[in-house]
Amino acid sequence: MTKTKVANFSQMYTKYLNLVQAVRSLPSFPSLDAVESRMLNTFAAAWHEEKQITVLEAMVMLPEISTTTAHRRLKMLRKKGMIDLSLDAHDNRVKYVVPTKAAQQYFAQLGQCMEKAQQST
Amino acid sequence: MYLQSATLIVGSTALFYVTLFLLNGYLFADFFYSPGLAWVFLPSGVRLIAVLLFDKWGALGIFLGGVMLAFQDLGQNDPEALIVAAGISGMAPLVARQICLRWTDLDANLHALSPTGLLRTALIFSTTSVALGQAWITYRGVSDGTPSTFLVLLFGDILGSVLVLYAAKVLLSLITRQRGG
Repeated sequence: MTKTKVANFSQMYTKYLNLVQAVRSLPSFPSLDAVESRMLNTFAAAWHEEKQITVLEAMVMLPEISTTTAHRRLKMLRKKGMIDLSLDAHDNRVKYVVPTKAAQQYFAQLGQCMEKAQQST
Repeated sequence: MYLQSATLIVGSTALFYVTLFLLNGYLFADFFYSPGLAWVFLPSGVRLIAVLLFDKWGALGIFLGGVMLAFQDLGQNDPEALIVAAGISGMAPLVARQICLRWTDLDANLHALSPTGLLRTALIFSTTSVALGQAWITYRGVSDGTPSTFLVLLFGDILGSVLVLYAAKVLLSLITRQRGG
């Protein structure tokens, strides 16, 4: 294969990858099920008190669900863009669960809904 | 580019364009503003993806698809006019691509193409395609070129592009899930 042909195919593949990346990132509205939203609310209470939540702590914060379920839901929440994981500055083995911008917007919206509900009563 | 690959690209784009065109008529038969004026126009999504990825080869595929559709309508319409219309269908996305490359931050290799950038590109593609298409049919005296016709076509093109992009997004996530990613 000549250099030009290789360059052409390589360029097309790069375009394809970039387009796939943009399509994947198109905004969507994650729907949270009851367990996910309960987990998120529990985290929110801790974040509000400026507490840091490690992944291990996050997995046992809801006593009614198993750690396996909690782990699966954490992965889902991360996939849905509601939480992120950040590494401890001193110990790379420790990961913290942190809210994303989407989660902050979610809470802000819930807050607005509560405020509206209060006003209407 | 290899002749074989180019033929494959042109052929598959044309086939995909025709399929979505026919599917559009079938799926959204009840969503036509008037004959030929659809509230949803799925092939606009193919135009966008094909021209972004394959440039002139994608446009040629769209043109070929348009010609195939023109021949399907041979008995009822003026084939010459339909072939020119097919040419516009293929050329308009190329013009839109040039507009995006020149006046937006779109890069020819789609580097750092953000979701917002992609939606903006879809909007420019739709506007250009509808504007050129409308200019042609107004020139031919087929359409009165009213703003409502323009708006319905634009709405259909944008909605069609967004639906195709979101279908691609769902497809990608299904593929990822199947691979266990």
